[in-house]
Parts: sequence; C-alpha cells; structure tokens
Amino acid sequence: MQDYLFAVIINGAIILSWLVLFLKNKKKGIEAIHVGIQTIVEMLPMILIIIGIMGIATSFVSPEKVSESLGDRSGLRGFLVISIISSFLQIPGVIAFPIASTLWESGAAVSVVAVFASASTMASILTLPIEMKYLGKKLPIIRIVLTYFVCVAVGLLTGFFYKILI
Amino acid sequence: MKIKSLFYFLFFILISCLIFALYPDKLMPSLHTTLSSLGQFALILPAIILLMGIFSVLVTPDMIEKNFGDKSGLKGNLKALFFGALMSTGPFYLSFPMAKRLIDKGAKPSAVVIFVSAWNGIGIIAEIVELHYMGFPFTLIRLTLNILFIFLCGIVAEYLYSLASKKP
Repeated sequence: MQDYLFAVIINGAIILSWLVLFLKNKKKGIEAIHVGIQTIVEMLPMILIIIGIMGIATSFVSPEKVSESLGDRSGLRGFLVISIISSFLQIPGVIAFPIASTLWESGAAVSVVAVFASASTMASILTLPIEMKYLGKKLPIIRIVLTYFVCVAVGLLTGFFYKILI
Repeated sequence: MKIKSLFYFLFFILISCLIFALYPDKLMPSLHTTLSSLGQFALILPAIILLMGIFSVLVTPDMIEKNFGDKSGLKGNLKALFFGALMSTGPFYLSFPMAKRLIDKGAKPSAVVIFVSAWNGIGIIAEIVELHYMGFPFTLIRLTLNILFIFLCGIVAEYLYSLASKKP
C-alpha cells in the first residue's frame, strides 16, 4: 500500500514539474521527453534481463538459504563476501535497487543489502581502466580503495541504525 | 550498443527456456515473481523517464564551466556533491569525462572524487528508485550516511593524493 502511495506522489510531482517546464519552454519540454525515452530504451533490455534473473533465482533459492548465509545471524562472512563482489561490479542504481530489495525480501540482513547497494553503484574495480583514462592513475585508485571502506562503513552503520531506529 | 543488449536479451530468453525445460515446476513461481517485479518497476517508470529528461535538459555540462572557476574549498566540495547527484541521469561512464572537465576548470582533487562518487552513489534517479523499492527509513539512513562518507572520502583522498604526488 505504501508502495502505491509513493509511486502516485512521485509520478504526480514529476509530471507536474514537467508541465511547468513545458509551459515555460515548449522546446525543452519536448526535448526532455525525447531524451528520457531514449535513455530508458537503451537501459530496458538490461533491466528486463535483471528482473527476469531475479525472478528465476528466487524460485530456486529459498528464503531460508538466503537468511542462513546473508541474514542477521550469519555473521560477518556473508557481509564481506557481498561487499567484495559488489565492489567489482558497476550496476546502475535503477537496476541495483530492484536486486537489493529482492535480497532484502529473501531474508538478507539490512547491512548486507546496504553494502550491496552502495558498493555496486559507487566502487567499481572492473571499470577502473575507464576511470583512469580520464582522471589519471593515482586519483581513481585512491578513490576506489577509500570508497570500498566507505561502503563497508555505510553498510554496517545502516544496519546498526536501522535496527535501533525502526 | 542497442543491438548488443538486444542480443543479450534474446540469449537470456533462450537460457531461461532451457532452465524451464529442465525444471518445469519452477516456471510458474518464476513467472509470478517476474511479473510482479515488472509491475513494481512500471509504477515508477513514468517518473524515471520524465526526471531523466528534465534533468538532462536543465542541468547542462556548461554549468560546470560556470560553477567551478574558483578554487573554493568547502563550497567547491558542496557544489561537486550537488552537481554530481543532479547530473547523473545517464550511464556511469559519463561521470568520468564530466569529472575531467572539473579538473580542467581547476577543481581540487577532493571535488573531483566527490563528484564521481555522488554521481554514482546518490544520483537523483537512483534515489527515486531507492525510495520506491526500499522505503523511506532505509533510504534516509543510507543516504545521510552516504553523503557524510562521500564528503569524508573526498577530503581523505585529496590528502593521500598530495602525499602520493610529493614522492619522486
């Protein structure tokens, strides 16, 4: 129910902002729709594949197994494994959060979900060569190493605060 | 690019057909979860499309030229955080040439690191998706921590960078 409420509010607010933009500047309004659709069309195959993989994966892996290896009582091992795997990957947020919520619903701990969400989007060892091409060698290496620790801290603290506050 | 991802998609369909041929009993549960996830995604699709369009039209790369001329410390870092989050309407690899522009405009290493991390970590589109999927409490906690740590990371990175640059 809460899902629908947020979706309605956010869609309404954004459609309204677009209308304001369109009325102020018709050309920019139309260009915005054009660019938006173009970007989503490029991403759509990947989004559909990920949603499909998650659908199949959840029918094979039981929630018991997930919570056993990644849940609250599994200790640090599952957390560290997920943190390392996700720091290698570069997943756009639009795709990372559907995966994260599936993990969560399947019984993974909040800290594991948070470290996956942070590390898969921010730290990407596999794309380091692209980053170095533009920003030199030193700064990207420093950034990725630090970001890994940032993601571990954000993951653990999100789990901690979530447990205390909610 | 498009043809390649279409090819991946067909490959995925093929593999899933194979899986369901081997495990027919998994077909219905998989289909059920996939369809409900698709529905959940479709709910925020209009918002994603419009928001990506609006920000890519309004927040243009020229804004970097205008805003990163001075080498202000904290202010520059805050701007980097802000622009990183608002400009991230496209794929991650666009953040690097954009960050290169920051360097060319004389931005400090901390601003560059914060910009790239903000683009990928707290992008406006990603945060809308996070709110939709993970709920308000989770998003608020993780976002607050993320912003604090991205900032800290930028400052420490600049310090380490200056150390590394001193060595012959």
